[in-house]
Formats: sequence, structure tokens, C-alpha cells
Amino acid sequence: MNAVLARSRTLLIEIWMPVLVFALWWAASAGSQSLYFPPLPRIVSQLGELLASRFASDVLPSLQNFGLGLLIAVVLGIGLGMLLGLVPALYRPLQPLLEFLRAIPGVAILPVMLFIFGIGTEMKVAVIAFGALWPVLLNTVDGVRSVDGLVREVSRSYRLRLADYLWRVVLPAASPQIISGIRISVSLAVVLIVASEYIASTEGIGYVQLQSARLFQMDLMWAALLLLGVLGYLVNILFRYVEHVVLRWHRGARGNNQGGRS
Amino acid sequence: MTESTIQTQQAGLGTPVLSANGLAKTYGTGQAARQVLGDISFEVYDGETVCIVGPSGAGKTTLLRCLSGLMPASGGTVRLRDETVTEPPAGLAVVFQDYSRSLMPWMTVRANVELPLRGTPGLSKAGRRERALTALASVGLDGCGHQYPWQLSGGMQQRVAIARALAYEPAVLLMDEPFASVDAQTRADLEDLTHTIKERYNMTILLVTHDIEESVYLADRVIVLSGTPTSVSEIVPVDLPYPRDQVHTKSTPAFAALRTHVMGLIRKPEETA
Repeated sequence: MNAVLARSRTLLIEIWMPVLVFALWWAASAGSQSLYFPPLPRIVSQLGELLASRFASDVLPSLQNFGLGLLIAVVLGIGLGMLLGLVPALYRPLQPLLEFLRAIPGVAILPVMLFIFGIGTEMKVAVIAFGALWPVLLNTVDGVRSVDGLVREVSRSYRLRLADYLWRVVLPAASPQIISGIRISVSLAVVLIVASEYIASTEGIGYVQLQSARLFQMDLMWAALLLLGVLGYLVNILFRYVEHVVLRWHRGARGNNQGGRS
Repeated sequence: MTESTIQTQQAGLGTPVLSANGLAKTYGTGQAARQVLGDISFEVYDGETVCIVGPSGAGKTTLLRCLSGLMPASGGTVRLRDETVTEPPAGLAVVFQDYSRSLMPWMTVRANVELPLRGTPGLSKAGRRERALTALASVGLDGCGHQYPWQLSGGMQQRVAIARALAYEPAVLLMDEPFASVDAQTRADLEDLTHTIKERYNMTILLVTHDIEESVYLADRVIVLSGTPTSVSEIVPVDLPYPRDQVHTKSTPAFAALRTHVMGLIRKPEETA
């Protein structure tokens, strides 16, 4: 009962400000004659229509590209990151190259992906995957390299099989850093959904947004923008929850070291 | 079997389980070279508890790391039964001083104990679980298997580390200052637990400590280290009867005499210097 109460309190604390802003926006924009800043009720009804009539044609493709691109980035990032983290002889010569690739803004890779993959879904997924790869990869390398020396020695002295060592020791030990890498990647991926739909695209939320702006359908433009914001927010909440569950041990162990049980 | 082998076995000898022969370790090379261990030789026999005691900085941990195959020695050999140790061998389990770092915080206590058993051929999931629970029970941690290490006190965490070693069923249990990071009462409890393990499992134990009293209380023989580079100053047999207990054993004249003797061995080099 107390937990439910505490949770609804947290929710209230988090939600009063957005509600207030929304209400102010609603009041201030009511009866607006401006072409660029239409009344909020019209934007909301456009959003409803967007979700109702164009969900399968525009919203879903964006979500799919996001999910697939992020999945590729996470799998590849963790896999390569573990390899590079465990084999310093491989990591050291590659490090400058990785830092260089990481420094390239994901958006700038778009033209390259465009002539490699053409104008289809593959190009968009590739752009998202490329941009989202680096935070996961480099954080995984860092996490793996900072696995406690004593943990390594325990694993060696008990002759753990390689699979057990990787899956049950190195991966969980590095998971706090891996997950913070994934969260950075998630926000990059949201940016790249939109960017990949701005060029040579015929579908997606980003496409709808740019297209409606060009056609001066400002209600729809704002509706698409609102939707992107809400999606980004929801995805972030989802990953916060994943982090909460996966890293429960980490909070517990850290809390105890600070709290000091002897 | 000849008469002489029977006699050596009655004397508690026979073939050693673990032996060090002329073990030496030097850190660094050239001008910066620093020899820590010089020519250390001893044997550990089946079922006996041997304590290695020496002053701080004598390279006790270095010695244990060489014995366990975690670090290559610069000279000499370590043998576990018939095998020369170059890598961590299958028959050794190590309990480290720092229990909070040697247990995996992302695993429950039971999963920690089961982890080394995953590579054991022919051991089923149920068998693994069975062994882990038995080991946990034998260190007095029944019913704690579902908890996480960080939910337990320091002494209990070290018990988990000991249970993990027992479940592994090693030929020799190596312990590196295992009770140095817990409070005095917990330390006494864990010392007595070591006696129980020796008795119940007939476990061969090699324990490194800086605490002279602890070494005499626990050991059948005490290997005293001293000098620079460190070498074996004397191997002291401890003939105190079992069962031993904290109050009575420690108040006997024989215990006091042994403690004084070991202390004298450790202090001697400083006095002559």
C-alpha cells in the first residue's frame, strides 16, 4: 500500500509541470489566428488523426526502424566491445580509429548510407545503427576493462569456462556502464529516426513532419513534433525501467558499501 | 607395502599433496629488480593444516599467488600431487582476504557457490544445487542461498567464499589472510569453522596469516617466514591436541610456549640487524 502511495506521489511530482505547461499552451493558443502557431486543440485533434489513420503507414515504420537499428547497435556494440575490452592487443591499435568514427555525427553518415543501401528501409536502419553503435561499444570496452582484478583472479583460479566467464562474470560486471551507453544510444537513435526520414523518404513520422511543414499544414507539423517528443519520453521511461530491474544488484551493493555493514 | 612406508604414513607423512621446491620470485628486471622470495621449500601432507606466518611485507601473498598458479615464479617449482603447477590447477581452491570483492555482487549466494561447479563434468544442475546447499549448510548459512552477498555481514560473506571453495571439493584449500578483515569475535568464529572443516572433510588447508596466535591455534605445522628476501626460517610442529577451543587451548602453557617460540623466530632478524 505504501509502495503504491509512494509511486503515485513520484508520478504526481513528475507530471504537474507538463500538465501546467500544456494547460498554459492550451489557454494561450486558443483562438490564435497565426499560421505558424495554431491553437493547441487543433494540433491535438490532428495528432489523434495521425495516430488513427497513419499509424501503420508512418508511425509503425519509424518505430520499427528505431527498434531494429538500436538492436543491431546494442548486439554489435556489446559483442565487439567485449572482444576489444578483453584483448588489449586489438583495442590499442584500433582506439584512434574508433574515436574518429565515434566523432562523426550520425547524421553525416546519411549520404554514405544512401548510396550504399539506396533509399529504402535498410538505409534508415543502417543510419540509426551506425549512430547508436558507438556509445554502446565504447562504454562496453570501458566496462570490460575495469572489471575488478580480484574478480578476474577468482575466475582464473576456479578455471571458469570461457562462456561462463563472459556471460556470468564479465557481462554483468560491465553492465552498469553498458546500460548507460545504451541510454545515450537511445536518445541518439531518436534523433536519427527523424534525420533518416528527412531525406529521400516517403514514410515515417519525420517524413510527415517535414512534408506538412512544406505544405504549410502547421497543425500536422506540430502534431508530428509532439508525437516525437512523447515517443522519446516513453522510450526513455522504458529504458529507465530496464535499468532499474537489471541493475538492482548494483544499487544494492553500492548502497551497502556506502552505508557500511561490517 | 614395506615397513618403512607404513611408518612414514603413521608419522603423518607419505607423499605430499602440495610442495614447493626452491621457490623464488623477483619483481622487475635489471637495476629495478627486487627479490621478494628466495629459495622457499616445504611440503603439505594430506589432511593437515599448515599455516604460513611472517611479518607484513614478507611476500606472503606473493607466495600464495605462486602456489596457486596465479603468478609464475621466477625460480623453483610448485607441485600439486604429481603435476607441476604453472596455471591454476583443478585441485586448488583459494579463499581471498577481500571477501567483498571476491564474491560476485550480481549473483545470489547460491549462484556464487555454484559458479565454479559449472565446468565440472558430469555434474547435473540438481547435483550442482545439492552440492552448493550442502556447502552452505556446513558453514552455517542454511537458508541464505537466495540472498545477495551484499545483504550479508562481512563474516557471513567470508563464509560464502569458504562454502564456494568447499563445494569445489579441492585437494588443497588455500587461504590468503582470510580473517584479517573481520572483527575479533567473527574472526574467532571463523577460526573455529576452519577446525570444523578440517575435521568434517579431512580437508588439507594451507593458510597464510600475519597473526602468530592464529597460526598456532589453527595449524598442525607453522611455516615461519623471515629475512630479505623471504625464506623459511623454521617449520614448527604444533602438537596441541584436538579438539581445540578458543578459551582452553589458548590458555595452555604449551600454546604460550609455541606462540613465544614463533614470535621469537619472526623478531630475531630485526634484533640482529
